[in-house]
Amino acid sequence: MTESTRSRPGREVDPALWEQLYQRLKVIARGQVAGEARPDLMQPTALVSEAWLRMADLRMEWESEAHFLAMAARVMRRVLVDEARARGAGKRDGGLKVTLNSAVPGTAVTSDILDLDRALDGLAAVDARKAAIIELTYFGGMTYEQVGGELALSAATVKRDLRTARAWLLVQLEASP
Amino acid sequence: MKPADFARLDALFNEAVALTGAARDRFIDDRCDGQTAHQLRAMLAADDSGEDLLAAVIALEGEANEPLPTRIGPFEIEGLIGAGGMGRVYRGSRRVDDAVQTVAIKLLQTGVSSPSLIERFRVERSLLARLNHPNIAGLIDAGEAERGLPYVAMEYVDGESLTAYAEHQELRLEAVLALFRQLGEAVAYAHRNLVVHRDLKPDNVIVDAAGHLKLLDFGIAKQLPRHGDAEPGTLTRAGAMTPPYAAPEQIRGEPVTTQSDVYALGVVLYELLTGRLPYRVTADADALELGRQICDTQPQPPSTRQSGARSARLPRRRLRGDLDRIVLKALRKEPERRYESVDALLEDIDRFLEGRPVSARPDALGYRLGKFLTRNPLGAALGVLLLTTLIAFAVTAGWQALRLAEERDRARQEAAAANAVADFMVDIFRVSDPRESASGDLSARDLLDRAAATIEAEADLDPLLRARLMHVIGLSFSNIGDYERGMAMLTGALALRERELGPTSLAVSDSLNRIGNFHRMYGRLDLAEPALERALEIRRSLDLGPSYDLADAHNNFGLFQYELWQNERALQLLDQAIDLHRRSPTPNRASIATAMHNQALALNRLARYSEAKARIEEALALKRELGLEARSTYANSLAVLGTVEQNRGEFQAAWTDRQASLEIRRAVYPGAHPNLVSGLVGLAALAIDRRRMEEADAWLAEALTIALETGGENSLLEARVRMVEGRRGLAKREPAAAQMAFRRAVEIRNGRLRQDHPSRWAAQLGLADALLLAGDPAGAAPLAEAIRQRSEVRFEMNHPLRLEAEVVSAAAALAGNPNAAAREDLRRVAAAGGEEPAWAVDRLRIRALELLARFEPGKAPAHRAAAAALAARYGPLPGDPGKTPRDPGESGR
Repeated sequence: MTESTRSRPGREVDPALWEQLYQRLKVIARGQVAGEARPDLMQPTALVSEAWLRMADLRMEWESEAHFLAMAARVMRRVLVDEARARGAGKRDGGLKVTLNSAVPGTAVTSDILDLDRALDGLAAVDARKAAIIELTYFGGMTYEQVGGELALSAATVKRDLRTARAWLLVQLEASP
Repeated sequence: MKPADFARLDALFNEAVALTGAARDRFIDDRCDGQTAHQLRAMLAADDSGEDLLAAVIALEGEANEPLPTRIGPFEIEGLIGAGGMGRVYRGSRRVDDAVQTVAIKLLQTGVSSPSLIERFRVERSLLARLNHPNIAGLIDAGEAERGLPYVAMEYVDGESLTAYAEHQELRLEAVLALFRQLGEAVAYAHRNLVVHRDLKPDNVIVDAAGHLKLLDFGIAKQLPRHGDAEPGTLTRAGAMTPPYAAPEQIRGEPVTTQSDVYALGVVLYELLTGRLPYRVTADADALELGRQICDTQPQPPSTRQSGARSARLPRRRLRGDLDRIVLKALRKEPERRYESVDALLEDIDRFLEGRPVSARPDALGYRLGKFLTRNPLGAALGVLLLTTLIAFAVTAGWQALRLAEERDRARQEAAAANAVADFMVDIFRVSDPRESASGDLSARDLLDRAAATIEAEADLDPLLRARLMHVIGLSFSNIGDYERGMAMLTGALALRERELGPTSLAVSDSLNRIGNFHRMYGRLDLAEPALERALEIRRSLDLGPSYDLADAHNNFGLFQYELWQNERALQLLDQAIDLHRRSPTPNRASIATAMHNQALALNRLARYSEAKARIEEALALKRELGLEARSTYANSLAVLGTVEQNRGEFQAAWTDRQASLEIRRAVYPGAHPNLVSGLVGLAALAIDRRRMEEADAWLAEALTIALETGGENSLLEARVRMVEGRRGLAKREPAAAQMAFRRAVEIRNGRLRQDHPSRWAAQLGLADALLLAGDPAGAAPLAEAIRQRSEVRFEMNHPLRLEAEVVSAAAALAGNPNAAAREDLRRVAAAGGEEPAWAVDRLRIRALELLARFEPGKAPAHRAAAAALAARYGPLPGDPGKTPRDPGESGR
């Protein structure tokens, strides 16, 4: 990591580290940590912070919290997508779909995590930075400042990019069959 | 999409999100091509929706393995079935007597329980409570869970979706139709209970292992009003829908009726029979394309779309013919041409199964062709083409104004009010009873009357909202040519705004601006001036910096100065308007084009024809760039170009451009409208100049009718028609007719215009000319001489009005007492004019030379030769016999 302390979008994560994080997050996400109570509603971002606390406990070496969170965000996305695939999501009747613009399910455009994953890949193909920003914010739970620190951008740029990226993704999700 | 395209989209999006309302629309119109505009609008809509689907998707997935709430109401929770942006659906159960009852529970989520959402829950609950049918998943319980969140528990159906079931069970045709019958019966039952489902699709229809079908999800179902109910059925908005199953009228936001459910059943049957949707959409088709197909494309018969695998159990030959016809009848674009009820559809299916002839007949080719030819591209197939055209016209006209108004009031919190207005206007233009098919002969005026009455009847409307509605309706009235009613609404809105916001708010200045403009448009300059002046003063006092508002106010006041014949002042104000528009944070090219148009008018009046032509061509080019070719604004500029060309003597081009302009105006204003008058009068004047009297007669007759109808008696509009009638009288050498027409013009203009207004002079000169023709030089002379003296002060010797005054007064003087001074004046006229040909000047020079030839017999041949040389500068009109046309490239476009 001579280049800097910043991870660039698309930069490869150390495979060993990846594996370690992946397993930790999966365990935490499944609530399989023995003997520990978990908050009722656990958002992925909460899972990521949880992972951070646990990894920190293990005294692993991280360059910064932001750097860890960035990596965790990518891992988190992978975990969620894999879990969804394993459950058979994406098939006609198998997935947990979220409905847009409607109070009740089944009445409008629906999307699941696999749709989002695909759309995010599409975004990365045209603007890798924005895809990274989405990943860090939504899967990593990072603030604008943290994302900016990670990608060497001002918080304002992050905020602006995020807005474009989100709108673009929503359009892609609406258009996906 | 390429990274470069995305980067461009990104930049556009960032600029557009900073704008709101009309400014945003203008920005998109100005800067984007069709595809980009579509994408950008979709992104902005997503951005505006405020819903974070991304977060919801991720959160739901994160929750997939979360502990569930243990209980909701009396039910133990067993699993999560699905989620909406605002709520979750769980599977739960309880013991009733000795049996376990399994339910699906919809629970509203924390933080999103807005009153409207709770209302939607309430509606679904009450609808379901009333529906008790074996094929409808019924309501079991409802109540409040923890923290007061409402829930609805419904029959839980363990099974597959309709299409998946039919597929997996490999159902044969009879079994498919029997299953479809169950669905139809459920829907028919709901209809009998005055409930429209509005979201029928296979995912909402579950079939259990025993083959029993249940219809789910009345989440967006709608209660139809009973006949005679006071319920404001007109004011409900269409809810969500699922595009591939939505009927054309749903896509278009028109009233949803039981016929919409018939359509959805048609789609479902089509899918059951063919495994495909009735549309040919590719995987990457967007919602717009799908919508277009739903509204415009005739589906292929199911038998032709049958895919290979299923033809064994659903043989193509059995679909061909009757079943094709049944499905296509259910899928007709026009609700009233589908089955009149679900029962009728089921009956035809029964007939088919029993081998009896079905009622569905193929669409007549002539009918389809007729539809195809008359339908506009996005489809207006409800059989109310006229209605939609009228509405589109009245609404877009008023609509743009609304957007402008919206922009101006942005200091206030506007979004909610704007939505309310939008809903209101849209609803007003719906037919009140969703089951009654819209009648084709409601006029825009009827609709506006209805809107006005509705507003009046709404007692507890927020005053500012009422003002805004009145404002918009007033603009629409004015746009359809109803000056009186429009003005009444606009002044009503002004009064409300003054009362609520004080005398110097932007909203007040907006009202004044509009009122002033309409007075001006209908020739009431005396009333226009104070309104426009106050509007400009308010805007200046508010110190808005370079803004759209201030620029617009300059434009309008400039236009008004033009009307007062303060042409130099008008040019200045318009220059300021253009400059302000350019420096405004939201530069607006359409408004710049408008100001240029107005400058061309002023330049034309100043007889600076080549500058005028260049300027109006600049405006036209800008309007073309903005894609406004079919709009009235383009027609207006074309008309000005025609005028300038006529004054320059470019008759071919003037003829073409004026005709084109009138054609656009006729398309835009199907009824009577003041703008038609100026178009007709312009053409008539041109025809008279070139001695095409029959055409002139027809145009003048129409112009007069419209002028009297829209402006009433004694309007400046009427005076304008009278002026050209007078010229016709002169040209035909009919002194009585000419005198009568000019007298009317003089009367009207004297009554409405300031003492020193040159339009008054023009009318008086015309009258003097008519008196001269009638052999009354004694009557003509003092009149003409008075004008000549005034115009001498006001105009250079190359201005047509000055020249005309010189010629007429000289002619009058010479007729009484041939004198040298008059001949001298005529010689000066003959020598006037610049380098380039200008018919407006040369026609008077020719007349001067002809008079000189009469009164100076010695030099007659020379004068006549000079006149002929001048006349030879100008060519005939298209279709004129004899001379060859001038250079056809003349118009410069």
